[in-house]
Amino acid sequence: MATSPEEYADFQAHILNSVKHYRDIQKKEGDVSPIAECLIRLEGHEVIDFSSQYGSESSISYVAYNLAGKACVFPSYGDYTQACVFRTYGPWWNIAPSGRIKYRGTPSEFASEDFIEISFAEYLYPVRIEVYETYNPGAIVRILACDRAGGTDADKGQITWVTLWRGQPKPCKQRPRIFAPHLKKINFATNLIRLELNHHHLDYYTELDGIKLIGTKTPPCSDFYIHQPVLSVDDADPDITFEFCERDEGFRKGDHQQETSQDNQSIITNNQENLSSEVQLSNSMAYVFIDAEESSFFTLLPKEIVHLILSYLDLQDLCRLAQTCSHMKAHCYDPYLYTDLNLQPFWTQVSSSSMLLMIPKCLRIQRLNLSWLGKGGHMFLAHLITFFENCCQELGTLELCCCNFVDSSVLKSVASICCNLLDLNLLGCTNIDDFSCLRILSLPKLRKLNLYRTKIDYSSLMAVIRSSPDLEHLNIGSCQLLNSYINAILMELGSFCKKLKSLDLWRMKALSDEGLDYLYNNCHELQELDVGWCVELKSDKDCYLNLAKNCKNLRKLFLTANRTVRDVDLRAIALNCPFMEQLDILGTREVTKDAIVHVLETCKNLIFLDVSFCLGISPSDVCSWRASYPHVSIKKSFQNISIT
Amino acid sequence: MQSVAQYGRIVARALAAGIHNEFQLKSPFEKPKEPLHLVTGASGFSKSKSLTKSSQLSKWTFGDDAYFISRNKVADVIGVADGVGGWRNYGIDPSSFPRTLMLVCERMVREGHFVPQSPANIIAAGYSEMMEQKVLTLGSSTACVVSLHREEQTIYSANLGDSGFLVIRNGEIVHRSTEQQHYFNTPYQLAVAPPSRDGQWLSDSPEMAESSSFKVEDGDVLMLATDGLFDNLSEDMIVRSLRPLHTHKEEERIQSTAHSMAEHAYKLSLDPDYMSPFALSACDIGIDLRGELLKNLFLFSGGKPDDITCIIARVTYQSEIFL
Repeated sequence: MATSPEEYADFQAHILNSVKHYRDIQKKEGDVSPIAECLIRLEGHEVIDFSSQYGSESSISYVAYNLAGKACVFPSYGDYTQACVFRTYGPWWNIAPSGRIKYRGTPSEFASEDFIEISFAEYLYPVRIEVYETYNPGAIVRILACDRAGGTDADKGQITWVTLWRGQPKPCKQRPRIFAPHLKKINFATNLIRLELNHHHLDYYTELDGIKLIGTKTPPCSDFYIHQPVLSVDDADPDITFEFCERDEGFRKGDHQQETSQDNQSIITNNQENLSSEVQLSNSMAYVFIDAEESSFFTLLPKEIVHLILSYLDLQDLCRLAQTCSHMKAHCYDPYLYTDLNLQPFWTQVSSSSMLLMIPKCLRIQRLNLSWLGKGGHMFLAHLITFFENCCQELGTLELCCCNFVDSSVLKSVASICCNLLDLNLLGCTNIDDFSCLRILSLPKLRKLNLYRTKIDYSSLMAVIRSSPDLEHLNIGSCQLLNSYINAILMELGSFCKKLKSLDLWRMKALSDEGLDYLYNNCHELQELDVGWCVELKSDKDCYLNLAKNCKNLRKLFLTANRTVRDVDLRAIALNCPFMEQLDILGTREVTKDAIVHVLETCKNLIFLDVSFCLGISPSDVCSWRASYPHVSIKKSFQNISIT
Repeated sequence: MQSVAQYGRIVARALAAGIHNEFQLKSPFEKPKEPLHLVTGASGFSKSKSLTKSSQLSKWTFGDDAYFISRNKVADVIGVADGVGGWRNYGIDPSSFPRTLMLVCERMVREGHFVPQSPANIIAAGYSEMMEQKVLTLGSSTACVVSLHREEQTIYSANLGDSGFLVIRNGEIVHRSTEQQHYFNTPYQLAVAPPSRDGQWLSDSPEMAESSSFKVEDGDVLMLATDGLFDNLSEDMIVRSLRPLHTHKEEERIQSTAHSMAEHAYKLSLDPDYMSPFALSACDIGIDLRGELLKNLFLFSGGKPDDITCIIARVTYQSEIFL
């Protein structure tokens, strides 16, 4: 990030260079990315599914839907409304008080945090996929293609997802980019592509303008895979050409691709069946006695040491180890190795049947992550109920992010069986039409609840609030059905959930100072509040002032697009909130440099400050602040960099 | 009171027409109702000549006026927005609001986010989309959007403010929009005011837009313009200029007509002796043109200097456009 005017000028020039480069290609060749004539190029047709989005549900600005259709922003670079933008970026949400804790035993190559699935008008054998990144490139970590050749009957497990490319997240230079990595050759035509993203290293939101699928109607010859034009500004873009996939997928870059494609094929098919078959194998050996007379080196080790060693292995490795010998199997079956179970990395393979096979291992399970499951294998309600009944009566954390199989019946089973839940994550569960089971079944120990983008209704949420006095973290961002009742909801929270530590009210447009009043007068433990795009809040009603005065433990306060935030509010924050770590005042017109400097000076724990689109704050101000306060990450987004 | 015989004749005629229609539809030589298209031309003049905006920014704008022309699978849509100049006194560029509004509306039409029978929805949705942008655009403008549903052969319109449109058929105005004003020279307007000073500004809701629909035929000429045109050219002048387009349907001709009309309006707007429609209506409502009320703002007689935007669209059969 630029800390001086010279660095900023460099940064600007680098971007404008890239833009010019693509514009020149466009003029010369008539297209930003020329391709061989025999190939068909399709732009994205329709976004089928996604994990999160920045924009409102019914809007066309900054929404996932923008990935489809023409790429109209590219090669311009900046924060444009016509791009596809996700809800979060960077490490900021993970280090906030409401952040999710990592699951033990998660394979290190799984780094996906967000996903988006897009369909195309025709089925093609993919030769090349181009993603047009128009802001903060470098988030894509995996590209998959869906094989529906076996029919669309998910029951028979005939939908499979094949990884076309995989990479590790790493920092990337800021410039417009057509991301087109070398793809694995596949033997089926597809019209559904899935992108998985990790934005940990990004400086700001990544924004995607469009995606193109380039391929052939009939299986192409292998020449196409090697001789693809490299379109980046630098001759050999280190971000792309040297990217190759992890050992599991067995990819090799460039020249070797053709020769080893046969091997790759078998390795990949092997891998996909691996997990379920490994689980099956390890289960089929029934309870075996460990012969105490046998003395191998392993049996000499104390059990606790073995347990300690095994605790470093991920799920797949444990399954493989269990197949080696009966002694190891016994150790690998120790339920205390599976107190955390994260099945999200294996979403392409896990079905409810595979979960049944894991029951013997999951008897002590405390934290279960089933996010993203359901697309790689069918999830039967009956199996889930069996699993929950056998293993999850004492379950503490259950994560079901973006699980399409979760409907009202599944929710009902969860609520009735897993009644000791402390943490329930239903982020993006848009298939739950009816939450009324929560009015009858309560989760009295509930401390954390995430309902982002769900269709929860007012009465059901009221029931949850009233029956969960220990509630500490609540996320009701983008819950459209709650919007008109939001002030009443805050009144209830104030009455029943006085221990509230974090609250996410993203895009609750009807939120007024009245509602906020109930909150800060009752929930003094509040550490995190997100009232982004709650445009009814007006500073002259002193709502921000009073918030700061009453919630002195605030560590994260996001006032994104709260356009009336003034200096007096910032000074109140500086005075009353010494623990403030993350502050976002995007888009306010009223704030002056002095007030911001005051906050930077006084809030010694500040690590994040977003002053994007604040009138009166220029990039050069931000540069000098970055130099003077190096421990604070100061964000200043822009639309057109040549104008700032 | 009509006689039985007359009734009988009416019934017989109706029956005959009905049967005739039946036969018409079933006849193999019947030509199906062909969809109609708009062939458009747009032109205009900015009030102030001293603009140094880059070409990218001034696309689809003339001074503080903005417009758009867009098509999608079902309809052809055109729109104008006239920015209220008074914002300049508060340091806000009056052209950014109408320009952003028109760009958003154009995008919504192009991507199919609208109901062709309800251009009022385009205006309302475009207006609320402007609030969803990180960069808040301040200002206000009128809005007038006309959408031709090709299959239905009907135009649907929505108008908020004093921009407007006319439909001319065979040398006569057969349909027009109605002007909406709060008081003289203060039209209804969509506005986004500085958020901390809400309530002081005139801001009309998109629901105030007046909607209408009208069945059109091949040869109809539609003209959508801001008040800069209507205040300087009388309806007679407009009708006369548009008459040749009934027979001449080439796009170049339509474009040149739009240009000459805008130029004519521009020249008259600067003519101090010409009794423009604006001056006439000022007289009508009894404002003494030499009086106190107007001395800061207007010329005492003559034309009304203003940004002028004019879109002319000829309704034409699809098959005849590409000949």
